[in-house]
Amino acid sequence: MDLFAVPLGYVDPDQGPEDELSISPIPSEAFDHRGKWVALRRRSVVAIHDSEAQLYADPVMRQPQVTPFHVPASRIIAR
Amino acid sequence: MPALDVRIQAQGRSPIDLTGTLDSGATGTALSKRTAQQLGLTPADLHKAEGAIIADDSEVACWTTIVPIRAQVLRPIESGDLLPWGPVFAVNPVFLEHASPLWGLCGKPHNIQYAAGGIMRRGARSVGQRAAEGIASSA
Repeated sequence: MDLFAVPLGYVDPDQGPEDELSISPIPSEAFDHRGKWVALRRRSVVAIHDSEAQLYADPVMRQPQVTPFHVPASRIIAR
Repeated sequence: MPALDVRIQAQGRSPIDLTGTLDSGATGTALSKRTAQQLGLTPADLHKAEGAIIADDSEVACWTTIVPIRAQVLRPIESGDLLPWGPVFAVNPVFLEHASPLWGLCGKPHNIQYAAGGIMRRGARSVGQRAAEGIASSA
């Protein structure tokens, strides 16, 4: 959907129940690759690279529903 | 770790989906210049701004754009598909040389402009909507 084709604040009336439980977009297996850049699709890791540039150069990134994610190098991401 | 999938789009360009870290202590949303490129923004669309202070109190160079950017939270469901969730909102990210997407929160939900003609269920705010309100805070 073109996000500029709808007014700000638009909510799809068919988006589903408000109180339905959601799940994390990050699969636990992603944390086996701390410090890496991973490509995620359907809560699975489909590519692993050392850098953001390498990840975006991977053809998998041009597939639908694939998102990039940098796995924090440690459990501490802010103090 | 709090993480959120977000569909984000620069006006006149194609939307992209990003997985980022949700940071309730950040005062804005930070993306990388490579993400700006993925959004279809050219170097001419980016303008050097005052440096951004990151978590270790160091200051790094950052860029902004006047190209309008909108976003919508994506919700993963059991099948793994991502479904749009909550309102479409405006966001003004800063772009850093290198950054993993960070969705900042600073408690300014009024920045979501609930258009009068929009379809909006005001009574019940979902987790996605609350997150969207936070992310929109820098808009």
